[in-house]
Amino acid sequence: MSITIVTSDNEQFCVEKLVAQRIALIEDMVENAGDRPIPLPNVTASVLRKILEYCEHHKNDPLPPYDDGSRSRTTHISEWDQKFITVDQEMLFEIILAANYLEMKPLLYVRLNVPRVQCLTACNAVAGDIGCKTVANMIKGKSPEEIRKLFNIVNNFTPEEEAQIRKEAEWAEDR
Amino acid sequence: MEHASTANGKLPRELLELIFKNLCPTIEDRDSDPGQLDRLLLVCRFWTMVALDYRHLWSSIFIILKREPDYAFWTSYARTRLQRAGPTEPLQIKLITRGLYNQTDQDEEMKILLSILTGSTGEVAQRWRQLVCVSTKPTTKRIYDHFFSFPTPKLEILIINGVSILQTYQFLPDTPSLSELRLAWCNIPHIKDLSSLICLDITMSGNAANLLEQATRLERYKYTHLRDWELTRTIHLPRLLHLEIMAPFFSGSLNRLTAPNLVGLRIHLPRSDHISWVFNAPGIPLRTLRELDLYSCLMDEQLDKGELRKLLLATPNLKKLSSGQPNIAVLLLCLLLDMDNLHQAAPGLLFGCLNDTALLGVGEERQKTIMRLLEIIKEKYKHLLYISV
Repeated sequence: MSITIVTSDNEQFCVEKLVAQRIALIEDMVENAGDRPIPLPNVTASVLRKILEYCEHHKNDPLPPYDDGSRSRTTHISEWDQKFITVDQEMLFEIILAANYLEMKPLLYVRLNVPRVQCLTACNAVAGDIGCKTVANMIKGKSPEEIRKLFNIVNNFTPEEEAQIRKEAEWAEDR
Repeated sequence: MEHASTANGKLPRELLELIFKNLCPTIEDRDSDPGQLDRLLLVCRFWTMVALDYRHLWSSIFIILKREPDYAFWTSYARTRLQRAGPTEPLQIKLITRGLYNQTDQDEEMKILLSILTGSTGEVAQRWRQLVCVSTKPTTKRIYDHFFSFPTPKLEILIINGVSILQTYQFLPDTPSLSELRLAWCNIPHIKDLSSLICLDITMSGNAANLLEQATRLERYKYTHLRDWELTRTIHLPRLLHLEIMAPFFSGSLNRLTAPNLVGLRIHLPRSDHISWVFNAPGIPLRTLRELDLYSCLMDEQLDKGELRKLLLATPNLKKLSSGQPNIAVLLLCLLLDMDNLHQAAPGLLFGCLNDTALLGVGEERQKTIMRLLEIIKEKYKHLLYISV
């Protein structure tokens, strides 16, 4: 059985239901939509293509356990995921944002019966996990200037603010 | 999407928190950069705001004191972390000391640092969730006695290495959440509450029985010592799944342990009579074992082939069989060659010897795989082999 998804740039995707169900937002919408196409106004076709590639590869994976923050985290990324996420920076951020919007890993809160607000945290933790891990790995060991340059971030501190923060964290820069 | 706006402000707060969370060190990390998180504060206003509001980010306090430690730095670091983590966030503390405390003038500074990590009345210790305390140069000074004297109701993981505490001292009086305990080269008093303990790993430390008697929920137990593993009373561990005894033991001790749901056993077999001790231990369910690792040292005696054969016959449901001792591995493989009908369920037994492992498969394939594995082990470890097969 398959469902049709329409992206923000009006491209239609015919997706196997098992694959689409990895995406919480779609799973929620499927019941109400019937046979009608499901619109995703915040996701472009190029990003959805990547997301579906991920869902297809992981469609038979067991759902991850609920993460209440107590579990120790690792920034390790599997070989396939590593290859999957080797994209330009623009696409990387698009994937992270889309995964967040789509509330991926849908069945988590149903199966674990935890409050939805906790669930969404858990869903996000999983959905954006590879993307966030990748960004975290890019940040590791870099100075604030290097981080700004890497992500094209504007330094919007006033000179006084920056001086104050630098004073409070001066030891961190030397280490 | 525009990069600048995405990274500066439009990336939702919760996703930026997730990115930051992935920068948090974990107690398994060998090295961590103490300035990593603080540098995030210097990127832009949004990052500063998100980082400072995200209390969990500051809840890991990892301190490494080397030969000439900069106490001023570490004291300031610990205080800042605690302040940013807020008053309730559970904490991960890692304190590694290398070659300290022969200098008396450092004692006071060390005590101040330890006192920050516990709080003056133990209010910080109340929030410990994970604690790693490693002293690579054990000291006779009583530097840690007070540090471990407070209630720690949230403590889940405790790893102590090279720490000595007076036996008469109150040691962690309240540990109802402790699920994982790893002790190495320690001399510590009795821990009162081990009712939640699931994983216990003891290396060259203390007495085996004391801890086991209370840990009735234990699922994994590993004991490594040069001294005997000795149980003087009967111990019933209904949840124990994995047992590793890497120490000499007496048959009586093994007879006193009951672990009806055991699936993995790693055991030191220094002599052939130890095999029959395992074989005859009433509380070790050999028939339902899935993993068996026969640990042995080169100084140990050569094991009797007949006894090993009996052991293999008693463990027909094994999925994994291994030995880090090439002589035993060769013996086992030769026995498996002769015992065609043992461990034949598809996909067959996984056999391991040090870094070499192979799925033996079934039928004809099994014979070929065993022969090939024998050749590899004999060639690779010929300098270690003292048996001719």
